[in-house]
Amino acid sequence: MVTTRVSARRRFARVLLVAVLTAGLAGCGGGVYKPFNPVDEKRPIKPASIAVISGSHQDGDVKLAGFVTKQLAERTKFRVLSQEEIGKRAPGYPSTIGLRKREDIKDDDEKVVWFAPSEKAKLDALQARLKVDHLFVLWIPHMTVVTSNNSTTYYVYPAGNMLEYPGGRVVGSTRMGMGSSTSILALFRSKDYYIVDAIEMSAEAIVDDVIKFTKSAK
Amino acid sequence: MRIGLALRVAVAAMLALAASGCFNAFNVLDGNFKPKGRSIAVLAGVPEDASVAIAALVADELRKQSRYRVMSQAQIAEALKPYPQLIKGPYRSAYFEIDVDWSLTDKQKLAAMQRSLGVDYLYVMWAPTAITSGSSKNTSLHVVAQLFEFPGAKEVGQGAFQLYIQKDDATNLKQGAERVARQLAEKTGMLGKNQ
Repeated sequence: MVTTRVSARRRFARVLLVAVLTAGLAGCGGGVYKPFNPVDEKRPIKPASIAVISGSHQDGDVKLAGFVTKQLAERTKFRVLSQEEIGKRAPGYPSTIGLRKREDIKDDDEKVVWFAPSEKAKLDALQARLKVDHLFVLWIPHMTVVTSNNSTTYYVYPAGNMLEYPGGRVVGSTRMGMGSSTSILALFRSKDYYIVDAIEMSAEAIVDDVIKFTKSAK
Repeated sequence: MRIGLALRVAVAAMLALAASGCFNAFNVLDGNFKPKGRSIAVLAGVPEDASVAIAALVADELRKQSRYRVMSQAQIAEALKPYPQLIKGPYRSAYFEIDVDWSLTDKQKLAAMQRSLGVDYLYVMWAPTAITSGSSKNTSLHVVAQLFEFPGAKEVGQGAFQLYIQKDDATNLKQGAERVARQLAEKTGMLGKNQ
């Protein structure tokens, strides 16, 4: 029952957010809402082994990678490496995977390759240690907070790329925004409750789309 | 990250406060603190440009303003491989602000690093989040820092504060680093004779 209520609230939040994004936050997320978008729709992505990689050690990136890992493991046929296992196999994880310059990314690009070309070697080296078929690297390069008279909304704008090995070809892209607004309950919640909520809803949306395009539902 | 109008006003107010001298970056935990040694290393706790730059600026200023023997960043990098590296810091989370918990710092890791460095004090600085105000391009770096005494990794001082960068101009950041170093030196009784 609780799950249903949460899901309904999240669906509403998502619909609302898409409307808000379309209405005018184009500068932040580029106005694009593609939680997971295959680069080549004709080429299927098979659910095999996967590691979700945090694009940096920043809290937002780490949290998003953790939530997506959990959701993929629970809801899909992908064989998902845990964040702990990634840490064991790749000492120093998470390290920074540098993003391309913002001005090099078109506002309407729905299949963005987010990482700088020079960072590909880092990803290849990581895959060599993890020995998985797919890396799914995720960042939250941008967050905003909008305060109105009676509430505050925290927005996150996740970005990501799925790479397929061998070869390290980019097969999927993430570009989206998600928001979570404070309510009277904020008085009783932790400082970061709403930002984490927005990140968790993003993970849910990303995995929804991964399932849709890879037909990998359990 | 962008922030709304209210936060932008708050940033401007904080900037004004910092400029006017109401800037408290460091406090000793024991009012009777007396330093037991003179050697110190200033470490970045987060392996990112902002933390590394701030640690380097504060180290330079501490060398100028205090009687501490300050280890250079090059010496630190030589002794600690790799440096900078992530050190679990005194906070639960760092999104738009730092949710501080001074007890969370990985003191075991610091003790191991101190063994390689051989200094009496470690001043560790974490700048895990930076907030950019939308139109003005002013950035505030949220910083937490702790001073540890060795042997024993005893926390003897701490501070949570903000440093500012205005439109790609590092002048404010340098001035902030000067103030941090001065307060650290002053409050630990190690201010240089010429200061």
